[in-house]
Amino acid sequence: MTMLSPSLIYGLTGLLLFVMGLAGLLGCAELLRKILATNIMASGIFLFLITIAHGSGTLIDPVPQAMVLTGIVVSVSSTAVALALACHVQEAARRHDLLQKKRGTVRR
Amino acid sequence: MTKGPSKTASALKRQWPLALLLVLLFTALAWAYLAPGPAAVGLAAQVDASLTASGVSSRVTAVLLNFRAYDTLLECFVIFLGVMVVWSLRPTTVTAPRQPQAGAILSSLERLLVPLMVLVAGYLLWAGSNQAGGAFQAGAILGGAGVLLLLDSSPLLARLPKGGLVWGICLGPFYFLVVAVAAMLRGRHFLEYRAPEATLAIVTLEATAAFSIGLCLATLFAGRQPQGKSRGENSAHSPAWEEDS
Amino acid sequence: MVVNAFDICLCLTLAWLAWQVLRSHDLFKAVVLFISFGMLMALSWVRLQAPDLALAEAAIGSGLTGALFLSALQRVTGNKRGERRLDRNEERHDKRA
Repeated sequence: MTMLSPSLIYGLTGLLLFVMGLAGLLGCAELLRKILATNIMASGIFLFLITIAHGSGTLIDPVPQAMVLTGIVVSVSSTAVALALACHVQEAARRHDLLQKKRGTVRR
Repeated sequence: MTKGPSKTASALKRQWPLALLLVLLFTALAWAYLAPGPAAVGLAAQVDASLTASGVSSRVTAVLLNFRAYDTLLECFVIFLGVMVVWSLRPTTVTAPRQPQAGAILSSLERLLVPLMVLVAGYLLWAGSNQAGGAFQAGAILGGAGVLLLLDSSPLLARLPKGGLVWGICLGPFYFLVVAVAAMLRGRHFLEYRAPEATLAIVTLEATAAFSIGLCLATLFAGRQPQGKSRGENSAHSPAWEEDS
Repeated sequence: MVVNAFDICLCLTLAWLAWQVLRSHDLFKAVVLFISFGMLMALSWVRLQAPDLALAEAAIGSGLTGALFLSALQRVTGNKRGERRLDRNEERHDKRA
């Protein structure tokens, strides 16, 4: 391989970002960081899709571009839903812990 | 139990089996990407061939709102459903604290930026038919303007009509549906429109979709239905956990 | 080639930023790094000749998503403040009892 073509670099970066996002999703404990990791994973997938849109010819395929454009907007709305749910889960968990603590003191 | 109060165990921990598996996954993916195989066959030639029948000269807009309009229709409904999910959640008992000292800078910035953002969104909408731009970009910028207004809880928001928000959010997806069914009434397939009347259909679809997407994004940032605001603030004074002790 | 050097730098920065988002102990720092990650993604869309995506990513990926994450972070810390207030009430209650 004499010269790295730009699409090759971006494709490999997309794959790397996907794997890193997966690592964060599986390996992190916090919900907020899991959502960040999912967003990084989505960015990697988008980068890879746009890279294969270049293909081998000079014509750039507009269909993956349109798909990714839709994907970006869908990912922001799903992020908003996930964040709202994460806030509720954290609040419920905290309330549960506090109630447990309270019952413990009463029992004592 | 699920989250716990542990603040230190936050970032990515060293988990060697997971790391090994992910390195293997990356290697497999990279090998699949770099392995020699038949060249990718795109749809660029087909899109260019039927661009004149689509009613617009921008290729991405033609794909989004004519060739693959079904995807875009579903995507509008996905955002609509996101707003419905956020609205159907119980309001959290603790509201975010307000910082009144940030008001002066924020309100002057807002007075400067919001008209400009609306102007840019209009330009992007107009430019979308023959170059980069379109409904999603314009909607995103409108959403950003809405977030800026919400950050300051601007008096402009109180002046808006009460029931207008729900109608504005419904406008984009349901107008899309009306256009799709109108094509069927004229003896064509669902969402099939061609060159003479397609331009008008696409431009109106883009305008309504951009408006609704902007409203939806700002509403998602606000996090709850505006009518429940006073109720949420009341419940913040009497937290739910004090009831069952 | 200059072009390839720029692309390689951009890709390395993207990967490093993603790693830092996952690694940093401070969640606020992670969110701010994620916002800059979105900005660099917009730059890479320009490099890949997708200006539509660059516009959308600049507005959404760095602007709106960042605002969403920051407000969620603020809500979580607000909850922590509520917890502290409850603890104080609890102590008072225990003293009375």
